[in-house]
Amino acid sequence: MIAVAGAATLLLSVWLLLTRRVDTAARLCTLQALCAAVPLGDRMPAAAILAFALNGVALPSAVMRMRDSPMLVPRGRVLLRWAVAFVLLVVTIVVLGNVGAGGTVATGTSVVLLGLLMADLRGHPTLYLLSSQNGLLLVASASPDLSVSAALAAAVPLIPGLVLADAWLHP
Amino acid sequence: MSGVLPLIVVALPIVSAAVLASVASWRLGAWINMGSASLQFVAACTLVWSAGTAETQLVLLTSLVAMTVSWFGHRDIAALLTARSLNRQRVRLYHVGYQTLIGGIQGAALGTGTILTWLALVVAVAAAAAVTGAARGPAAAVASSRLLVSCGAGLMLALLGTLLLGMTPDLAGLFLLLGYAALAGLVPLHSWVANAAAEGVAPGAIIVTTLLPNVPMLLFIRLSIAPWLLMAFGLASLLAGAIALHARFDPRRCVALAGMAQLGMVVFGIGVGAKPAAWLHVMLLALARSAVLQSQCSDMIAWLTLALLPLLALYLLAGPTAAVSPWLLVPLAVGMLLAAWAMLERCPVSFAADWVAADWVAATPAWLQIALVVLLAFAMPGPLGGWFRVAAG
Repeated sequence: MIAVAGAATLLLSVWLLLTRRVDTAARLCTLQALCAAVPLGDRMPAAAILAFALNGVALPSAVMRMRDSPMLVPRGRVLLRWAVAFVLLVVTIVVLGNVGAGGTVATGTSVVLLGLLMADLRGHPTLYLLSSQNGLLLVASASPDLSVSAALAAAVPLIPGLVLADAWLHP
Repeated sequence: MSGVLPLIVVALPIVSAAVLASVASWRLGAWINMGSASLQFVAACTLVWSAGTAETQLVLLTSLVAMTVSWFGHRDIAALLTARSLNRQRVRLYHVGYQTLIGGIQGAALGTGTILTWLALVVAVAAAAAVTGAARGPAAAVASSRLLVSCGAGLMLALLGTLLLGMTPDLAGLFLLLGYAALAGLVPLHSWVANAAAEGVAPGAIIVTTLLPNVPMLLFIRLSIAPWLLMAFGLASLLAGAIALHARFDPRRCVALAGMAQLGMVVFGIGVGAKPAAWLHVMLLALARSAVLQSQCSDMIAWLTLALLPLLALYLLAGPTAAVSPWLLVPLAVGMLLAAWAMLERCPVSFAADWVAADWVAATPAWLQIALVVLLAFAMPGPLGGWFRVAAG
């Protein structure tokens, strides 16, 4: 179950790279947050619910309300972006494939890195940072000695929230 | 660090920020900002007296620079209001951001756990973005957004590293280094530094670019990161900063790039095991950069102090570097000499006559900081040297 949820989160992260519409990307983030919250639900159900409520419902809705354009505008060269994303995926899975149960650490780390890569290259950083936050949630769920503070830091999307607030203040 | 005193040091700026949020008058706000920063300096002195660690030294440095910048800022805000770069609401935002940033930095320095430190740095980055974006105009807004996205990405990488620490320490070290290096304005997430230095309100730019990078340096000393990674990233930042310094930028961007290059040296120094020398350089660099920016980049002595610091670092780091590998001395010396040369080329020829004559009260903090740099670099009293070695060792 945990491995399937992790794989689904990664697939949604790759799908997010292909998406051009803001509302589609926001819905993908909602689905991704649901998948990423499942592994944490076993250990810390309250943190998992909080994570889904914020990463999957509150912030994607806020992004859809605030969008000034319906399309995501890619920056830089598309081919180069795909090449870097592919290399990142392969390297992460090779290096971290054996760490943690069910490859959750590898998939989580891949999701974080892909999100951060896209945040720098495409026009709407909040959605990609949100995707990274979901990756952090996956990694946190695989951590053997997860403290409550660490779970909360992974569950609450502070950075995507700040970037969204900045976009609202400086449209 | 536990106890009442650290709590006071962190709480004072946060309470001040709350008070400043409700003060409508910009003059009163500036006085409260100045008074609070001075009080924080007294509290930091007491803290250092009770515990002489690298953390308390960083608290003292932060409060000293914050205090001097608040004195200098009092004059500058009036000028910015006249020039319409700020309005009353933006001054209030600037003051709230200023105190919150100081609180975040002090909280990160004194934080008792990795997550608490990370959280304090999130607060500091949000406040830094507010301080940078307080100035009017699209350039400041872009600089603020870039700061937030770059440092935010860095903080997410740092959190990833923190979560991975128990599972794969080596990879965790890489992510921690990459993440926190973004806050220090080091390669590869360094694009925000020069913009924040050039486009923000002058006193705000000083605290953002000279104080925020110091916490990551303390973390690099404390965390167990592979030395070769520190050396590689340090050299990359040193060389990138030194080469970029040769482009024709305005003086504030130059100072930011000089800081980037010299912080690269610090990271390299930590990597070769010269932690006390690296920590001393963090202190000297912060004071020198603050002095140059407070003198509006027009004082020859302040500029020379900053330009010659790489040579002092080369002298301090040559031995430990040669002990690791003599070949490492080549890129280190090339980077340091390039950085020093670029800064010396741009050294102003005026002896600060204009600004000292115009406002000697505002000039005093800059001179105080230059004197401290000279004292610490060339005539450090023995016990003080021992204190640095023990704290950063």
